[in-house]
Amino acid sequence: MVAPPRHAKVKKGMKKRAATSRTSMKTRVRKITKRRPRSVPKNFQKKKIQEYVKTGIEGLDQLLDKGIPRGSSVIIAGGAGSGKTIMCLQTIYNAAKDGKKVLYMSFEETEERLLDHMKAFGWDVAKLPNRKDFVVKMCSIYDITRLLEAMMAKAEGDLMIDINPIMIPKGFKPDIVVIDSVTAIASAFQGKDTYRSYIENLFRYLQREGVTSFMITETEEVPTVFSPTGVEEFLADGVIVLYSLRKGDIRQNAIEVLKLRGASHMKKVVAMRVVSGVGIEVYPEQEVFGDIK
Amino acid sequence: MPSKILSAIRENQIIVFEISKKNYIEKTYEIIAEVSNKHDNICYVTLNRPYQTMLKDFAAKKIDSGKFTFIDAVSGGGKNSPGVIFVQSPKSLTDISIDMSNLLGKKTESFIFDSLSTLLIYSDSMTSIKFVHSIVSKIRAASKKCIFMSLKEDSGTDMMKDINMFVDKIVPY
Repeated sequence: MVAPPRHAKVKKGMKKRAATSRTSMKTRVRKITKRRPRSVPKNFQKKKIQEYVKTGIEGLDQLLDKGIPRGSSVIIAGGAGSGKTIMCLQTIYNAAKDGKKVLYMSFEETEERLLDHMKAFGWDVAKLPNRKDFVVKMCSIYDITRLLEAMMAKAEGDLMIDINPIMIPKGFKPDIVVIDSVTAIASAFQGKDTYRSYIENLFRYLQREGVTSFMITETEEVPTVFSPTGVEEFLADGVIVLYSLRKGDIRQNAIEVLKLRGASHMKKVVAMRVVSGVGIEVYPEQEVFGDIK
Repeated sequence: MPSKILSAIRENQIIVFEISKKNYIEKTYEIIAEVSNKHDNICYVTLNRPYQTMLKDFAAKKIDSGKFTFIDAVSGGGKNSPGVIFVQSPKSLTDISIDMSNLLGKKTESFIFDSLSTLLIYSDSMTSIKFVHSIVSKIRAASKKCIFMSLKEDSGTDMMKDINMFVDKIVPY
């Protein structure tokens, strides 16, 4: 028997290899097609599902549509007696009932007084299922000035450890933080530049930690600037303004969502009440009669 | 003239009764009595006479006060109870509107507003018109009735001329 010529052997081998590689290519394509549905574009990336935080305050959540995007920083601005503290206490109490970890940082009132305010509205923190996840911390301006000195030392290389712009209790990772108030913090600073640097650090820190924050600012009765320097409202993701409007010898409360990044919201000033034993009630359908000026 | 009141209420949803100063109180109670005969769930908004005074008058005139929920904007405040809601002032139009809206959702059949003339004493014309327009719109949307009292002597005011646009009938009484 005569052996086939060498070129025939090569050709046969090539055919065999070609057949094998075609089959494996087919198999490879089938596997890929099974993994990826045809309707999905080639550059498909899984979208991050946005979570929203609700305040649990009747009527206010209607103004906010889906809610506040988780991790947002929101300025709560208003004059004296407009309901800022009550609104924040009510929000974090509702969040704590839902199992969230909350931190209220107060530069003005003691923990005891704040908890007493809450009890007057029927919000008894002692009866929360996870009492330890509801933390009220009284802070002083000197805490901020010491932190600032440490941050400056860190910036100059004199300090090696990381310094955070606010002192969150060790081992506690809150979902929601209230800072009452940013106005008090601003009063601790001599120069605008140092304050601006600090406040930018604060916003960046809260964003990095994924904390939803409410920062109270004291303003005029009908404000045109909603924060101590005007910078904070630009840095913040949201601004909610509370009013206590004088009409002759009476006062009328009102509220509006001025700004909220990443979420839709109603754009109007609506009536609000502070109801004994209940807290804040917002009436999204109710206009406020009389000029707001 | 009870039949004039009844036919006005029957044929219209939003009515203004214009009553002379001379016999305002007497005529007002005639209207209240007729409405009370027709409806079982009535809201009476008073900017004129305090709730306690009205209760005594109702008893004297044998009008069933149990059919009424009062919004008292005269007494200057008080503790709310099932038959009465206190509003701090006749100027508190937003609060009056909120309380009327809340009652709209609670099977209230008709509203009596006493009075447009007193409203003008405490609030400017434009605010008063906006307020009236707002509550009339809500009451209309809910298909309920509303009766406004007003002084005949105020019929020439700008407010009354504008209110003409959004009520069904102005009835001299």
